Amino acid sequence: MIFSWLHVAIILFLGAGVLFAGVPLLASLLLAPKCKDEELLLPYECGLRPYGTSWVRFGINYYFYALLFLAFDVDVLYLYPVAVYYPFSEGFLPLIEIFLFVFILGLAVIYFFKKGVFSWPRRIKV
Amino acid sequence: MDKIGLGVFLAHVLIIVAGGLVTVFARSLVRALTGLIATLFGVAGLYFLMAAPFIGVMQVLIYVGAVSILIFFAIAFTKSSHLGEEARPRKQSQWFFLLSVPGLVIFSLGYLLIKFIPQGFLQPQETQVKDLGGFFLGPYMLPFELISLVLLVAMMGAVILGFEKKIKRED
Repeated sequence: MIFSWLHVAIILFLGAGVLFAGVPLLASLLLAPKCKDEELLLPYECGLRPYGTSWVRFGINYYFYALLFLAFDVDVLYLYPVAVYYPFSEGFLPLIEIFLFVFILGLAVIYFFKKGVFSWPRRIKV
Repeated sequence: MDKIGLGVFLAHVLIIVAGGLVTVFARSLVRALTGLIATLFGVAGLYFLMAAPFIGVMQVLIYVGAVSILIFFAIAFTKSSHLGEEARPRKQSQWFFLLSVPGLVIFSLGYLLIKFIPQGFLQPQETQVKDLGGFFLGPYMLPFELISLVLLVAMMGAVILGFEKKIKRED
């Protein structure tokens, strides 16, 4: 187990974050006037009485934007160490390798653009 | 410093277990997801303790950042009303199976591990991010390039399979 001052700093920040979020909640619990009513649990306390459920379902397409985001996120995982190493590398080979990597990902963007993923209405061409 | 390290380790285990319990027992799926996020945060902390801060940061970036969003979307797409069948209180027999089988597995595995596996004496060494990058551009060049190809194919496959198609209307 390796424990260093970096961890102390991170934990201090974590604690500060918990305090920052927790104290207002606690304060409102202590200070705010209390009243209970069924009406207060409505999504909007005034205006029209809502009908139906608030649980609407979205189009499945939004899921794929999250999925694409995840894929590019994983790319960052690999690009970051490579970018850190790059200033210490020699020759043209690393440049070509990174270009190839980014080019293949660029192909994905071009493909989605052609397919119409980024356009409205959100349906791809068959 | 070792004592503090142990304390921090236990705090992380506490976060992980508490998050896991929230995930299992929360009535609302969104709250369950929040518990899962807490668990993933705790695991990231464990990576830091194992001298792998890069993996820890990426755990936060990918699992806490992206995968949990994915799961949240998946929740939003399902018809998971709180009046559904899953929300009813569990039967006694269900509780028994729920607690007995995983409990048996956990305790027997833990017992075997503590009893028979010798304690490690190696100190983990932190690998610099720079060195990782050197591996990607040096000896592991081909896997590095293939990663982007695999991700490309995965993204294209997802879009082809799942995206709503443009249907030609017959006028």
